[in-house]
Amino acid sequence: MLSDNFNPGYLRQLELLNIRARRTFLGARHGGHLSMKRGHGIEFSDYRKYEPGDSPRHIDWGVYGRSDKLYVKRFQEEQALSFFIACDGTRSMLTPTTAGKWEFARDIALSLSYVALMQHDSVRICVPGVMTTPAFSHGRGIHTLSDLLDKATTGNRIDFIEEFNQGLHQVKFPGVGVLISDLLMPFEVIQKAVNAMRAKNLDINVIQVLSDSDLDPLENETNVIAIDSETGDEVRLELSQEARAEYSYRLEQHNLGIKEFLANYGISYSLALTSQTVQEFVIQHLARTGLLA
Amino acid sequence: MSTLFGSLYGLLNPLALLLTLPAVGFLMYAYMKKGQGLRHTVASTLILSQLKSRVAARRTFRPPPIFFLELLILLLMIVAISGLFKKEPARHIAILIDNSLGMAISQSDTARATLGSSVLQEAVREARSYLGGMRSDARIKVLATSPWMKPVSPRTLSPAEADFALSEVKQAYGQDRLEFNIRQLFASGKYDHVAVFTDKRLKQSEKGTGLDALERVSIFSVGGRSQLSQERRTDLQNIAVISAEMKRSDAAGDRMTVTATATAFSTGAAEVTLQLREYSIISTGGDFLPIQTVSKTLEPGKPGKFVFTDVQAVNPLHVRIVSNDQSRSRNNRIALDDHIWVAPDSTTAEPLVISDGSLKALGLEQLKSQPFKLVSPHEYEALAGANDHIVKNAPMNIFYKYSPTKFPGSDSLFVLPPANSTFFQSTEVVTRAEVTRWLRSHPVTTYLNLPALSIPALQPLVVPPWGNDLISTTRGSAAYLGEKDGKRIVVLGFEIFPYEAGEAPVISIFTLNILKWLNAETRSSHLIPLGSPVPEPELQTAELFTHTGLVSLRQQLDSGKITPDQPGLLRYLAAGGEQKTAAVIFYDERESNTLEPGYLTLGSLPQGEAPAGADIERFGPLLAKLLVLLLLAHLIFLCIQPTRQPIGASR
Repeated sequence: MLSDNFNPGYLRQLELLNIRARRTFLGARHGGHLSMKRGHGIEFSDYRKYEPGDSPRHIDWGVYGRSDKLYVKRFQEEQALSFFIACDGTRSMLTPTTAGKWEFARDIALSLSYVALMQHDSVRICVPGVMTTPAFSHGRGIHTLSDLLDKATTGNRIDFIEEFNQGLHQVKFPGVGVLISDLLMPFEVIQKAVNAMRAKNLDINVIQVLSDSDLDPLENETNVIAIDSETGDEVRLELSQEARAEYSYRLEQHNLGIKEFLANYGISYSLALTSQTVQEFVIQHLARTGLLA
Repeated sequence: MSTLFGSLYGLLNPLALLLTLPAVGFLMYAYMKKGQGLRHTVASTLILSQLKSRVAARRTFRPPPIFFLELLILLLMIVAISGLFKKEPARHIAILIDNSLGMAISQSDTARATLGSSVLQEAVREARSYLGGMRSDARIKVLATSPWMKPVSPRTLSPAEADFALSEVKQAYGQDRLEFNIRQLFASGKYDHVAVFTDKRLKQSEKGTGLDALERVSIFSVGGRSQLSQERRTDLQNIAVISAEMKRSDAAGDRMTVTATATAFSTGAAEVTLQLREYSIISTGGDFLPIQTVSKTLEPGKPGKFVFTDVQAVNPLHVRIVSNDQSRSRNNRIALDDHIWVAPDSTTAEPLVISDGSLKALGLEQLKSQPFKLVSPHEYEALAGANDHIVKNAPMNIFYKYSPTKFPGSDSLFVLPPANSTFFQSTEVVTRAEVTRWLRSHPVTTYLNLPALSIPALQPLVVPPWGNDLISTTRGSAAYLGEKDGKRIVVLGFEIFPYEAGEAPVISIFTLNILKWLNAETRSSHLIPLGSPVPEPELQTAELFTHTGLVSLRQQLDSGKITPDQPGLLRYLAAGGEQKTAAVIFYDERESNTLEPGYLTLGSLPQGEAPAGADIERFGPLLAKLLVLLLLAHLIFLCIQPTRQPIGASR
C-alpha cells in the first residue's frame, strides 16, 4: 500500500510529470517516448528520395513544388520506455531504523514508478538481494509495486554488486535506470554498479539518500565504538568537535568524488536528505535535474 | 582499632572492607568500558574509519573527573557499611597498683626490701610513665590493692595529680585479689578503663571471652617474678614465717611451747634461724627482748617447724627470721614475711570440724588463731561412740553437711544439715531468698547489716520449739539458734564456707560472731587475720604495735570499725573496760612464694553503666549526610553536562 506521502494532491502532481530520457531508446511497444525506430509515428524526422512503392501520402508536395523532386517524409516512431529502478535495501539503508532512509528511497522509487506508469512505461524495481519485480506498465501496477516493496525483507547482508547484477540482468531493453542508495559504500562498488548500468545502455540517474545520522553520526556521543551495520567492522572513535568537522569534510569529499565520477559519464546525481519530504524532493529537485519534466 | 590523633578508631563490621577491592575494580572496569565507548551501530563506518581521531586501543586509564566523585561516593558507602566509629580515649581511668606483700621483692642484689628497690617501686615508675601519655582531661583514680582495695585519694585526679598521688602508695601486707578488684571497679560503672600494675602475668581466659576485657584493662607486669625464667630463679628466693602457735607445755604449768613454721621458697636447702622475742610495752617501753633462737635447715618448698620450749609467756611474743650473713639477702627477697606475732593465749583443746572436706576447702585455715581439728563423720561417730577425749574436750563442733546420730555434747554449729536429719528438719533448697527479719541485739548478729547478706541457695529450716529464728527470709528460715541440753546450738540453712575473711565481710563477721558465741572465741579474740575486722563492738581505744613502731588506729576507731591493715599487736579497750590484746597476722603462700609467678585471669567483665563522658561516636549518620550531598552533587554534575549541538552538514 502506498504510504501517506501519496496523497491525492501529490498523485495529481505526479501525473503532470513525465520521465525524460536524455536519449532515445528502442522500445518494445508504443509508448510515450521517442524510439529509435523510424516508421509511422507522428513525429516528423527527415526526408528521403521517393522510391517506387512508397506511399504517395508521405510525399512532401511542398518540397516537390519547390524542387521538382519527389521526397518522402520520414517519421520517428514513439515507443514505451523501459524504466529500471534499483533501490538499495541493504542494512545501511535501515540504520538507524528511525532515520527512515529506506522508506524515503522506497517512496522516491514509487513516485518515479507512478510517473512512469502514467506514461505507460515499463517499470521494474530491483531491491538487490531481496527481489526484482516483474515489469509493470499500467497505472494499477503502482499498488502492486508498493505491496511488493512493503513485503520486501530488507536489511540483509549481501554482495551488493552480485545481487545488483542479477536484478539488472532482467533488463532486456535499454531505458532509464535509477539507482537509489545512500552510496555509503566503497567507491569501487558504486563504480561497478554504475558501469553495469552503463553496459545495459541505460540512461542513468543516481539518487543518494542520506539521513541526519549519516550527516552527523552518533550525535551526543564522544567516545564510541561504531559498528558498521553491514560489515560488522568496529571503529573506536573520539568524536570531538574537530572529528565531526573532519567527518563532514570527508563525507563531502566522498560525495564529491561520486559526483565527479558520474559527471564524467553524463550521469545525473541527486542528493536526497530525509529531512526533506519526498514530495519536495521529487517535485522540486528531480524536476531540476531533468529526470522529470 | 587504632589510634589516630589521640582517639581510637575502629570498625564495627571490618569484613565490609573486603568490598573495597571488587567495588573499585568494578567502577574502574565500568569506566574503562565506557572509556572505550558505547557500542553503536551506524549505517556505515566508511567515512568514520577515515577519521584521524580513531583510537586503536585505550591503553591508559584516564577517567573523567566524575569518576573520582563516584569513587569517593563508593568508598564512603563502604566505610559507612563497615561501621566506622571513634572511641574517645578512656577518660575515666582507674590505676590499680598492686602493693600486696609479693610486690615487696627486693630487686637489688644487696639491699633488702625497702622502697626504691622493690617491685612496687618499679610498678609506680611504670604507672608514672603511663600517666605521661595520658590526655590532660582524663580523670584518674589511683587505688592500691592491699590489704584491701582503697583509693589513694578520695577524689578523681588529673594525670599530674595522679602522678603525685602515686607517691602515697605504700607497700602493704595482704593479697592483691586483682580479679576481684578489677571486677569491682567495672561493676561500679565509674571507669571505662583500668590500668593494673602488678607482678602477675596475664593469662587469657580459656573461654575466649577475654577480648572485651583486654580492651578495657591494661595489665602492666613488672618485676622479675613476672618474667620469671629458669636463670632468674636463684635470684628470687624467699623465706617466710608461715605461722606461730603457742600451747601450754603441760596442763598445770605456766610454761608454753611456741611452734613456728617457716618455708624456704628456694632452689636448694636453706639454713634458717628463727628468733623468739618478747615484746614488752611496760618494762622496755615498747621493745623486743630476745628469748630463744632455733636454727634449722629447710628443704626447698617444704615447711619446717621451729620449736621454742619452756617459754614463759607473759608479754606478747614475736618470731622473726634472723641472719647475720648479709649475703643471705639474696635468698630472702621479701622482708615483710620474715616475722609473725604469737598470741598471748591459746586453747588446749581444738574445736572439731566434722566434714568430708578439708579445712582448706572450708577456708578455716585462714583462722590461724584457731587450729581446728578435722575429722570425718565416720571418724566422729567412732570417737563419739568411744567417748574419746577429742570429742569430749572439744570446746565446740562444726558439723558441715552432717548431722550426728547422737546429739553433740558441746556447743555446735550445724551448716546445711541433711534434710533427713534426726534432729533438724528442713525443706527443699530454694533460690532468691531475701532477708526479711533477723534476731536483733544478739551477739551473733552484732555488726551485721543482714539485708546485705546474699543467699544464693537456701535450705529453709523448720525452727524447733527450743530454737529462735535467727534469720528469716522470703523463702523461709535461714538460721536459728538456741540452747538444747545446756549446749548452744546454731543451725544454718545456707552456706557460709569457705571462710573468706575480708572478701566477704558480712559472712565473715557472721561466722566469727557464731564462733565466738559458741565459745570458740579464743583465737578470734587473740589472733586476728589481717584484713578482718575486730569482732568487738564499741571499742574505746585501740592501738597497733608493729615491729617497726606504733600505729594509731584513731581514725578507724572513729569510724566504728577497726580492721588492721598490717601485722602487729592490737591492744584495745573493749566495751565494759576490758583491756584485750590480739595478734594481727598474715600469711599467703601466693605472695611469699617468689619462685612461682602469679597469674591474672580475665574473663568477661561486668559492663556496669557507662560513666559520663565515655562515648563512642559512630560515623554512620555523618557519612550518610555526606553521601546525600555527594549524590546531589553527582546529580547536578550530570544535569549540567553540556548537550552538544550536532554540526550540520550542508544540505
